[in-house]
Amino acid sequence: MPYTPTSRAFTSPLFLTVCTVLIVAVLALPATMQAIAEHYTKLPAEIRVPLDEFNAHRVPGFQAVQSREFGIQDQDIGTDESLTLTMARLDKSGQIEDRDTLLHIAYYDGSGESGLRVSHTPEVCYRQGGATIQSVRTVRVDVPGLSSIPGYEHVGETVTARLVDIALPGGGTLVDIYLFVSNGEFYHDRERLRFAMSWASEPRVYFAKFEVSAIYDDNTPFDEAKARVKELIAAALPVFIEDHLPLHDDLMRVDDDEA
Amino acid sequence: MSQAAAAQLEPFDEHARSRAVKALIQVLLLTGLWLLLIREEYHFFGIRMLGDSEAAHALAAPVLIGLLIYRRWDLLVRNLRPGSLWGLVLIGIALVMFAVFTWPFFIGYPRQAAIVPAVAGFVLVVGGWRVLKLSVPMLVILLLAVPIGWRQYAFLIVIPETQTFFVTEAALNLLPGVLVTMDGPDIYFTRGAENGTIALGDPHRGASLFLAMAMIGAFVTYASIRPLWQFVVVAIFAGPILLLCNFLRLCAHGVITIYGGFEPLSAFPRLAAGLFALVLAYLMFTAVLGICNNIVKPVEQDDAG
Repeated sequence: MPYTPTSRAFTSPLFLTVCTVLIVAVLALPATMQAIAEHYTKLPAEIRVPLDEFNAHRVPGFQAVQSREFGIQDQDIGTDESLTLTMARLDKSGQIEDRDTLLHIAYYDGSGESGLRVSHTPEVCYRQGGATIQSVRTVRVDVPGLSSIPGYEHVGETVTARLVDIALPGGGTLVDIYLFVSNGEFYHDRERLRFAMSWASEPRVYFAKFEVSAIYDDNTPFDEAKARVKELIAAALPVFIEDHLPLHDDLMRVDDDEA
Repeated sequence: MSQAAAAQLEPFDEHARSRAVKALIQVLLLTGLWLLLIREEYHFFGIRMLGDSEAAHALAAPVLIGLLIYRRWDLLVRNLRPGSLWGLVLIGIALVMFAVFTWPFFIGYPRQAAIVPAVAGFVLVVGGWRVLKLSVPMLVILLLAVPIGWRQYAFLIVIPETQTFFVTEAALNLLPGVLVTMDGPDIYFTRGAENGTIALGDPHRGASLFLAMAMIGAFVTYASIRPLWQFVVVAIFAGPILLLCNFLRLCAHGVITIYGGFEPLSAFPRLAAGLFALVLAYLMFTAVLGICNNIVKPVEQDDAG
């Protein structure tokens, strides 16, 4: 292919083709993508039963108690639909054990300014609050009975979650395990959740963060606290799913005024 | 003799410089069109570059890229060839990236980073494969200039940050007459009768300026034409150099605060330590490259002898 003479550099077919492609893209692509995005915007998926009505009595082996170890503060987490409960494990005789386990659930229905933005993960938020993140890893949590919940048969009896080992400012160490639920699927990774929600086939999309944490120290070693956290996830997650999360039919429903 | 080396020895023809200038203008014109395409991103770029020290280095990118082009100008002129249709493929990939990460995946970083394959495509269309190969340094600088979302950045640095805190605490405890304890990201010190706090500063307290230091490293490495193996050596050492510079930045922050008697939230120790780390990164990358040059020269002389 002979070299383009100097005088024709700006009128070579290849250069003009690229210019044309880019000019068309400049004029049409952002507006087209915006229109497509608006057309396919996911509809909000309201929670079936508000989290205020979470029935802690349905969580086997645990009881809701006044917090003895956690200072609980109201924070803006981008949704009004959230729940923070201090739970204590019951021993074999049915007595409350003396260590707290914190259950935190936040539900995002996709409406409002924050929409489906996944902004809060403990390893980033605790760090912002002055904590030091000692380790972050993935753990598997057995959740007996999960696959017997309608719509969750494919999930099995184990979910993958993320464990964060945190040194709190002012002393103390915390084990925190969290996972996300979105349209009947579980995620431990924020980015995967974002991809999954973008790709969801249902017209309505929600996501919820399910987080459990416990303090560990000389009296309660890390492994013991971690086991208790996993136990509470196994006990409370099915209750949350059964009682509160939208059913698949709810996610598929499109009202006439929304169509 | 490699193709590039052979091309380096080819004399210019009378129109070569003129053609190269026109090719550069063509690339700039096409890049301008791309910047028009991503006009919606400027607000984000502006906020990040002007308001966040972790992205401010992007402001230097045009200058560094200009300097690299200047340093390689003769080589670029000699290697200018007819453009390749494959450039259209790269531009197509960039457009798809832009579109897909607008919808269905609304994710900023890959959408903004699409400028890299786009510019690579422009270079290929205008100057051919050899010029594209010579433009890799400029494209690397461009990639490092694209700001990473602060949540992704926070997630990436969370563990190196923690480890650096621990090592910094141990190192500062080696200072004579100084006792240091850590609480979260804050370091408390006692020196004689004096107590104080070294608040390492939000938001990226323990791991900062990585991308700025990487950009310095890339610039120092690419400022001269080098054999491939030197790039490999620098790439291997880049991670440890960045971690070491970050650790020494925290140490410098601590030492300045302890001996300078600054308040915990004073800007000076943070700025001085940041500047110190950037200079240190420059010196370390230069040292690695200097060692590379001096290892090989005697071997070449021996071979020649």
